[in-house]
Amino acid sequence: MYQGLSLDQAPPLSVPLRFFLTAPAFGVLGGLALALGGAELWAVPLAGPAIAWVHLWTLGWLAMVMVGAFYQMIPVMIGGQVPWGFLSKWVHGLLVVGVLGLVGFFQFWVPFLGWIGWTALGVGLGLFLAQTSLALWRVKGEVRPTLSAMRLSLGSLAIVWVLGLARLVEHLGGPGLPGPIRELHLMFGLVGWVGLLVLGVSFHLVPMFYVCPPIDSKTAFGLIRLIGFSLALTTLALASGVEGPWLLSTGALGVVGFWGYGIKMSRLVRQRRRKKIDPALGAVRVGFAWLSLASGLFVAGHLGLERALDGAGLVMLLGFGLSFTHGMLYKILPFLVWFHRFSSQIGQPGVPLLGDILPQPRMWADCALLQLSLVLLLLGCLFPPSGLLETAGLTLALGHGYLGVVLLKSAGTVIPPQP
Amino acid sequence: MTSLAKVMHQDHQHCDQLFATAEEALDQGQGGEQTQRFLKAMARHFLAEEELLFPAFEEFTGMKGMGPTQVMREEHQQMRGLLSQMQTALDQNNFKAAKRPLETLLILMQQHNLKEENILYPMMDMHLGGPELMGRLAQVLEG
Repeated sequence: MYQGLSLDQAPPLSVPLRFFLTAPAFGVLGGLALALGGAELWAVPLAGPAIAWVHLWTLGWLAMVMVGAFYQMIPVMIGGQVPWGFLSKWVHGLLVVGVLGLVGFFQFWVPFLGWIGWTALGVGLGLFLAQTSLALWRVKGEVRPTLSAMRLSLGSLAIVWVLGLARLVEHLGGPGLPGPIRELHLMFGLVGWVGLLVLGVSFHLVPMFYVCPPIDSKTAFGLIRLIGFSLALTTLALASGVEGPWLLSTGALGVVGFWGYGIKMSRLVRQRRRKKIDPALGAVRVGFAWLSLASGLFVAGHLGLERALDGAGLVMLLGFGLSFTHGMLYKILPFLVWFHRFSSQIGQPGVPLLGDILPQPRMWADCALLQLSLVLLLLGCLFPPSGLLETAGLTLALGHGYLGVVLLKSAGTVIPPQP
Repeated sequence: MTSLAKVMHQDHQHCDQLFATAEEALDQGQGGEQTQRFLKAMARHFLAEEELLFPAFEEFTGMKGMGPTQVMREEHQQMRGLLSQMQTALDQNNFKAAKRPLETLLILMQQHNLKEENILYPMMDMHLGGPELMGRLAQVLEG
């Protein structure tokens, strides 16, 4: 099996672009919701506005970016063929409608919106899962860590999707579900879908972009298995009602896996031949730091520290998830625009290069705004009545608005008229 | 005997190292000499492939003007376009302009190298080799 980038198999530019260009709008909404809701949003973690806000990020931002990236990565990195390519337009439209419906329901408690959300997310993510599962299933040849991580990540998304739809029916007045559905939904979303995809993608792309040694397959598979094993054992523990040290130990396996990943990748990145630190690497490094904090909070939460588990989820979702996906967009979007629009015209006067399509100062500005927002958010959680949460919301909205404009400009790059 | 894949992989690493050194020097507003070394190493690498390895492979497999070597030749042309922009900028002592194509070039180089190392070189090792070819290859790469 081919192990580089099969750019000749890349889908049309419009496929990933429509997802990447929509995601910042949900970031703006997420920021504004926090700015308006402030500490009230956190007062009751399971109340409607809190659920709406979390899903603006998990579905509106993260899933939007990751679904777009999946369509691009399966053919380019894995050599798979995504069937029925035209469906990506429907998946995008349904995801947008679904997130708005879901968020509208939880924010304003209008059941009609909830059913729209349920239908659109059910069909949209269902189509996406069917397309990508088939594509990954059909990939032949040696199973590499990236493929393995992507398969497990997609399997986790399927679990999150089913549990999420079931929970929504329950909120809409349907029958109550037994067992720890919320915990499983959260765990498979953050650790399985987001965490494993990030692992798999970084195994492949970090050595390419930073000219560092690749991770050895044995270690990579070991880390993926450890996290997968932890997910399976924790599911069993939660389902059988086990608590305390047993539950902590099954979850701790996953924490060890993520720490091992962070340490291993940091070592490899330190050995890179290219010493330059660009905004993408900067964002990914800070993402690793947030990941460590999330792991620490997870352990502290199980040792009894109040609300530390909620904090772990929040830091994993926004600190790790946002930092990593912002960094990924800094690299992927300009390259896709360049590759599809300009690579065949290299050497002709005025043909833009990556730095012209998305200049580094704009990426650094976005990265700085994001990290400022995240620090304010963290401080706001620690000192709720201080107004810091509202400020964090404003900077999140501002930052994502700015990123949206920057990405739109990049996507619209053309060859300037020559004198 | 050293395999062809190993020799070419080492040369990729050598070019990567020269790339990183040139980029670092250009970032500091200098680096004409380091960049010239990188450009020369890239030219030698392309020469070794296009004049020596690809023709031998095409002759053995009968895949002239098509197949993997043709794709690699096309990618060499894309990279040459960027390398030529760097050379023009260096000729004008414009280090800022010389470093502009580096980010784009790096991604092209890396994906190209992976294709060669994972597919083409192992295929070549199955059919080509021998002391004469390896000796000529070493001569071209060492300049």
